[in-house]
Amino acid sequence: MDDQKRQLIKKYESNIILSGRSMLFFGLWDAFKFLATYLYGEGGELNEDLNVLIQAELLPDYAEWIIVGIVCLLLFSFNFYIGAKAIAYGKGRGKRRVWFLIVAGILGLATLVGIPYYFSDIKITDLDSVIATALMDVAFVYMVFDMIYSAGRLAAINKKRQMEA
Amino acid sequence: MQEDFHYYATYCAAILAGYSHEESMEICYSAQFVDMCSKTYLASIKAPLSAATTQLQLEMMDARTDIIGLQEITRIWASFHFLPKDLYAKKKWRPKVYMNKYRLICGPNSDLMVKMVELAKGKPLQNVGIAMHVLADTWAHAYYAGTPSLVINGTTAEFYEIVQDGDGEKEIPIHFRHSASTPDDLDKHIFTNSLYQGNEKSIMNLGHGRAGHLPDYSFAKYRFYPAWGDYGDIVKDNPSDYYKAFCQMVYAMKYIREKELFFEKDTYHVPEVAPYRKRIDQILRKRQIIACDDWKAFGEELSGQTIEDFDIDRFKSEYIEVAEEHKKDTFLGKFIDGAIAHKAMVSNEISSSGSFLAGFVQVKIHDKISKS
Repeated sequence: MDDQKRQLIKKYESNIILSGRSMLFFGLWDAFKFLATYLYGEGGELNEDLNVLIQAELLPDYAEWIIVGIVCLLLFSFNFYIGAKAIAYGKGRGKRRVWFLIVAGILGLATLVGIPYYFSDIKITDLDSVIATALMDVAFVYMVFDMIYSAGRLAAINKKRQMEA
Repeated sequence: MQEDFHYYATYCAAILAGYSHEESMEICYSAQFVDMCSKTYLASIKAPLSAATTQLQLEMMDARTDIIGLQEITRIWASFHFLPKDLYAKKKWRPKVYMNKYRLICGPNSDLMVKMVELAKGKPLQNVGIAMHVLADTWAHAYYAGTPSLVINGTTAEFYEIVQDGDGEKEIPIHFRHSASTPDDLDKHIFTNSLYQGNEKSIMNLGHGRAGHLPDYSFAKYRFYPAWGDYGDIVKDNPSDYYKAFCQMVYAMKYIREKELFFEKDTYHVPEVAPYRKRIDQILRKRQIIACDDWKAFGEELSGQTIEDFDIDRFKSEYIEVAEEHKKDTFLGKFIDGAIAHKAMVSNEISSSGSFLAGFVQVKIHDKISKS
């Protein structure tokens, strides 16, 4: 295998591993964003629904924290699982399955579509936090599509190598 | 490189180049002294601090990392330990800020190295010693730059030592740890390196800190991925490189003694060295932290004389006790003059290439001031 191909393979593998590690960080960010929105956001639906159930004594007081905790954990775990799969893919561990790329792509697309909605009905006092959140989401979208692109290029190079062999 | 090569191997090379025992001792002492001549030492003998050829760890801990501090660091390390290979190198799609550092990457057989050797001709033996130190380090410290830079001197965590395995070779992963007080474990391939620092200009990213002492071990052959390499790997073959360094030192010193008409790059076939190739190869490939004893034994066999161990204070009292107007004629006085002149030459070459990372140097040689 010539040096240039080896370098490209190393580059794309490194990109995928880096994106996978970034997914872990974004998982934490998603969980934190949900928690902050629940605690300080204005009347989130989950908050209202839980309050109704707690006031009707259908759920204990602490149930809200358990449910919030579970949602945060799910958000983090979802990203963690995709990130771990990406890292394993980049390191060539196990069979290289691509379903995590499809899921990540859907996530990335959903995030991309949601970014403009940050700026609808925005208050001037919230501008800085909205911009910060939007920038985080832009970074996430870039990371996801870079991961997909790198995986695609890596697969193309490996296929070409197999055909040449 | 370490004392084994800078002191004892340089002595051997000087003897083979035709210098006498006394001359060889002056040359090898000067070569090793480049690793010792810090501002702290110069202050202790009231010598010009601008002659510093190295920085102690404590000095670097206190070093500023603004432009003034960076210029001070780069002037010393790029001049004496990481002589730049190509100050006009090109690389696509890189801004000037990056290229200024990229062009400081050290490597053997540079135009600067040739100029340095040519300038040493007709000068005191101390200049020859300084030149030999710098020449040797261009081989050992290749692929690293004498300026703090993560994007140049950084590496990935993947280091593989290439060792003999029967008739072939095999790669063994190297593990790094951050324990300066613990010696490297050669059997388990565990070495000490500098801590990872994400700050571009951190002192931890100076030179080959991220590779620890690997470049300075003559036996080490290893593969690694430098940050500047765009995901390409480098195989560093120290036994081969150190042998070339030794041959080139002999060739350079023969030229300086006017036993060669020209000094050309990439010239390693030196008749004086050929009979000792196997012996030198054995010393270089022996797996040990330091090879002083082996080189010393070889040197004493070559000259039939005893090589005194290096003593940093050997010429100290001579310099301190003599009158000011005669300091330039002492051993250290000549070394100081040679160091300042060399630093000025390299710094101004770097400046002429369009980089201000090394600033420029105003040269004062005891009784005259001139901008070189």
